[in-house]
Amino acid sequence: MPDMQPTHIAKETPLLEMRGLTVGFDTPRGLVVPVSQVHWSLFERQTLAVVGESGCGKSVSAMSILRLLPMPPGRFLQGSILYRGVDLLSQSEAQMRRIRGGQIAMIFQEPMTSLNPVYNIGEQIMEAIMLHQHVAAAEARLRAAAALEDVGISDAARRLRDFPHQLSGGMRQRVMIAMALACQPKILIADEPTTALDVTIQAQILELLRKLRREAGMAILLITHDLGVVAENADVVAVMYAGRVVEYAAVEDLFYHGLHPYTQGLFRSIPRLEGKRQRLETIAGTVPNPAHFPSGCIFHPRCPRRNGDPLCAAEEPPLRQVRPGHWCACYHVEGYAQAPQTVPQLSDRRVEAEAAPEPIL
Amino acid sequence: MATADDEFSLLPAGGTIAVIEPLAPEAAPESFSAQMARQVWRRWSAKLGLAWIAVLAFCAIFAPFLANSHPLLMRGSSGWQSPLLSSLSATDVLLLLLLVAAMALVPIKSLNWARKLRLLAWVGLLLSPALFWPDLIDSWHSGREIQWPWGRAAALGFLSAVAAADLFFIVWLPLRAVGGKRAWGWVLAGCLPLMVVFAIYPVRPPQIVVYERYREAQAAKLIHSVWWAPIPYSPNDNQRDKSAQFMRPPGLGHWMGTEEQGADVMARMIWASRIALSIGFISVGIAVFIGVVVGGIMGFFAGKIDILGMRLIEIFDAVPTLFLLISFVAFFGRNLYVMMAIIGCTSWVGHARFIRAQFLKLRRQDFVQAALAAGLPLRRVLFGHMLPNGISPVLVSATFGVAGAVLAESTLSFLNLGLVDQPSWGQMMNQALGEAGTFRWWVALYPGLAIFLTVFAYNLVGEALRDALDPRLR
Amino acid sequence: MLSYILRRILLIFPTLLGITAVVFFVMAFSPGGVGGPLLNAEGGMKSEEARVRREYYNRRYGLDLPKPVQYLRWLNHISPVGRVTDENGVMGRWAIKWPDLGRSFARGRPVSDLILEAVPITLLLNVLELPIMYGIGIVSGLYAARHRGKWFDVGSSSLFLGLWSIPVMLAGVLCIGFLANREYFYWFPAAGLHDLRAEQMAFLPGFVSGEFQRGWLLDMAWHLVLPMICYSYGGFAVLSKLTRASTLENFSADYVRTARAKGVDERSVLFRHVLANSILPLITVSASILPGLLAGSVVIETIFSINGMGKLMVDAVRVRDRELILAETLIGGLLGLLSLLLADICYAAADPRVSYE
Repeated sequence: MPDMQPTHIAKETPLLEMRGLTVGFDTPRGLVVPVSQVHWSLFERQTLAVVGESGCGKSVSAMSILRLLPMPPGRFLQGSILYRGVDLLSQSEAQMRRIRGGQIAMIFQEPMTSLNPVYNIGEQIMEAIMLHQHVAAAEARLRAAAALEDVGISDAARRLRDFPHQLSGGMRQRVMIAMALACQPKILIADEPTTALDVTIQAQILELLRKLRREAGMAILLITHDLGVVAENADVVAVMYAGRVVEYAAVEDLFYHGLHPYTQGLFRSIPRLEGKRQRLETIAGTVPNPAHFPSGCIFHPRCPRRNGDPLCAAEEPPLRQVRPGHWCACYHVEGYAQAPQTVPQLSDRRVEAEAAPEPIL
Repeated sequence: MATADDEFSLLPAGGTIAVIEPLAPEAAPESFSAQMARQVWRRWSAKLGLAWIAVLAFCAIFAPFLANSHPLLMRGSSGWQSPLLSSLSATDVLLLLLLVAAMALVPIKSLNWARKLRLLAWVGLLLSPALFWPDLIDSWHSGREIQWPWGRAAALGFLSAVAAADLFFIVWLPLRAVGGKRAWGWVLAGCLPLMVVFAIYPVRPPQIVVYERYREAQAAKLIHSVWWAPIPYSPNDNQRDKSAQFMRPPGLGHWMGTEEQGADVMARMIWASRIALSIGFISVGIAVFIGVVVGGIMGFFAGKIDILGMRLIEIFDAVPTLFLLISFVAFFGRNLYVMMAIIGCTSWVGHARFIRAQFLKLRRQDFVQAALAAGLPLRRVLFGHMLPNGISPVLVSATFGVAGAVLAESTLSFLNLGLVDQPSWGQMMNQALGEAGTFRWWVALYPGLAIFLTVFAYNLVGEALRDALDPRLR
Repeated sequence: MLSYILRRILLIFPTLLGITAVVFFVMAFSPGGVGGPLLNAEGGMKSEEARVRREYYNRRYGLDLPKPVQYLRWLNHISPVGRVTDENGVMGRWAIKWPDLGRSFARGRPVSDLILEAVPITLLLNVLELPIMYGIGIVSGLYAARHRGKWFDVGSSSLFLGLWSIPVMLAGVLCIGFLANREYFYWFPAAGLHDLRAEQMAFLPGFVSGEFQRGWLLDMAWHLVLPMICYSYGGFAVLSKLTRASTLENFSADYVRTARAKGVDERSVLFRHVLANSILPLITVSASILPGLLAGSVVIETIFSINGMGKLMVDAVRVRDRELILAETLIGGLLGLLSLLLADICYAAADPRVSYE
């Protein structure tokens, strides 16, 4: 990773930090690097949204945190993932197992298939509790029922005996969340938690996540491609494109003063209610394939701002702090040339989160 | 590519990564079948399997030239003659002509392999009546079929129906190669003179064969010079001219020993490859035909018809096939065609299941809906549009089915319920365990190995096909 | 579930009707009709014997009647509820009666006796053989999937495809020829299920007057070794490949990722999560293995001279013993259907998603 010194130092130390993570996959056609030089930080009780199109590497980077990627063919090439100052990539498998579910929990995009079809949901929640909290089965059952109540499932004790196929998609995602919560982890990684759900169910699940953050004081890493979800839930946003973080800023800063041409294109391509009705803009071109990333700035073949600048095609711009609390990776942003290359850290939180009582840690 | 978030389908846990290459514009699009053929060919196991099947095919076609009691060429009192050539049966001639036709078709670049296969099938269809009519008339008059008078006729009618159906489904439909009028003309031009020749000089080998005749003539110095086939014994040559030739272990003269009638085991092995090859293809052809029709109808119409069909499949699943096969054979006599038909009629269930599953999936797809909306007749939609898209799993099950049919035939023959007058591998193995605990290993090992290799070869090819279709499980 | 089982049991009847009808009509249309063996063997029989047989067939089938009626008469004989037939073959009143499977002239005994003797033996072979087959198949399949691409996986996949391709006849003949033969190794008995002296043996192995005697049980086990080997090698090869494939498929399933994300260790992932799902197709496939096993006994019982259903069938076919063939088909079909039903019930028990409603 590059030698960079944190100049914009947040008041607190981050809970989870991704520093220059680079993941490669060995394929029959050579090494493919879908994730390269990813930096961001996540603070306690913060929601960090990682936004990007399909295949931009956001899920791969999220899976890397719990080291759930198949290895081989996957390989960590560079960088580190620091959880409370400890590099997760250097932990032993046994140590990782204690962190998975116990410290950092994860929920997935496909609630329909993410639960084991042959066990009832009680058994599956209890399994996590018994693994991390070392309690007897009876106690685990009580806690599992409590977790189900927490995620808003009524008649929890009876529902524990239900099998996944008897539940709707929204219910299954609630079960997934209950399973993640049951061990009171510090961080919840939510990988596209609402993509596969109906809109009304989506809203309920997101509301549930907000409530949990408020009440349980969890930090949430929200992986999504839905800017609406980001606007409503995130404190800080990292925009990813083709395996790189191209912009990192607080949510309002990013929504109103997005700097990277990709971010701007992304916002122009969502429909708005207010203002004059006009054609939606699109970003020209398609997302590059990880096997054939362009040289230089990864976005330059599609960039409206480039104007034939040879630098864009020659050298990749690193993520730099172009303004206080705003990081961006583009040569054509004002002040980029003089901007320092610092560790992106932002401890901003929404007002509603700030208002919540400080949890005792 | 950007329609759904399919990052994880690209990176399955524990799976290899499928990298979607952008299509190179200059590369001609490769057809699905060509792609599969290439993938299958890449595996050495499939190559080995195909190589063994090729060896079998070679043995089947050239059996008369490899093992025959008739000398290939000899000079006797009436000058040079070839008893072997005049002893060739209609089947031998047909196989040889088909080989010649295939050799002629292969180098033609303008035809794809599907068309070549179709033309070859036409050659067979045109020539076989011209070749087989004396045979038919003979068997009609000889009264050999007195036990079941309409047996031969029924078997023939059935077989030709099956052959037509085979052609329709396996060669014509999935490939739908159209055109090639000129090649078709060449085929006709090649076959017609042959048909005329065979009408005038029918292929009619002598009905009664005295195998030892040439050996005795040679011993009596009536033959001046002679050129024997590599194995100078016909499969049914029981060497009556020599004494105590029964159950001899391998040695000089008989490399694989002799069997209990005194015939040469190696000669019988070679000739038996014909049954092994034909029973597999024809019975599986029948099974696939029934399976495709039943499964296709079930899958397309779904609902009540599907439920009814599933009952039928369940019934056939529960039938102990070998029991049925044995009782059929017991009452209908030992007829190769009946055996093929029975094996085919009892083993279609698997194919029907596959086709049904495919059609259930396909019927919801847009191109089928579009074809229906365009007013195409149902037959066209079912067999012209859906079948070519749904046939590939059946290809796999059919390959395994060929192996199963070969096993079924050799099992029947082993139980002494197979053919009597034709050599078969299974029937030879039956003689291995004699009375009083003697074990004649050569009649067990060689035919057994041949059965094993054949079944193994088909299984290897089937495996390779399946992996080509479903690369996840490799 | 109960209604499903009931439906399946009801379905057994038309299925059996279909199978037996097919065999009956094949028999009826074969040369000589139902009484065929009578005509063929008439020359070689004493007139008294011929008369007995003719009367028997006439009473049982009514040889002058049309063929479908002959079949219905047979059905009436085997049905527990039907019309009583008197000595001259005239149908009497309806009653509940003992099913009559007929008489085997070739063996001179009632068919039901023969079948009652044979069924337990075939069932014994199958019951012993299933756990062996499934045990070896599942263990090796799991191991291969777990160490995918390693030497065991590659080796076992080729080896098992090879094993699967070995014809049972070859295995059986080689086993007897080399391992139960005085010329080579006389390690195992060549025929039957028991030694001639087995009747006098104690049940368990022990010492009789200072000399070791293997006892009835060990004697049978010793006789069963070779048949069991020949019986199971093909099956476990298939099951192992199937286990491997379904295990691999389940390893990449989403719920496995969930389990790993919970912190479950690889061992539990394999044995608790993956295994429970990957044995489901094994239960499904048992539906097609079980009827096949009954038929598979034909070859093995013939080679090893075990008097089960298979050998009975082959012997019956050789002499065209029609009553026996019909009854064998009936009972064989019934056993096949019952095993299918059993497989269905097991499947419902193992997979909560299946409800059969």
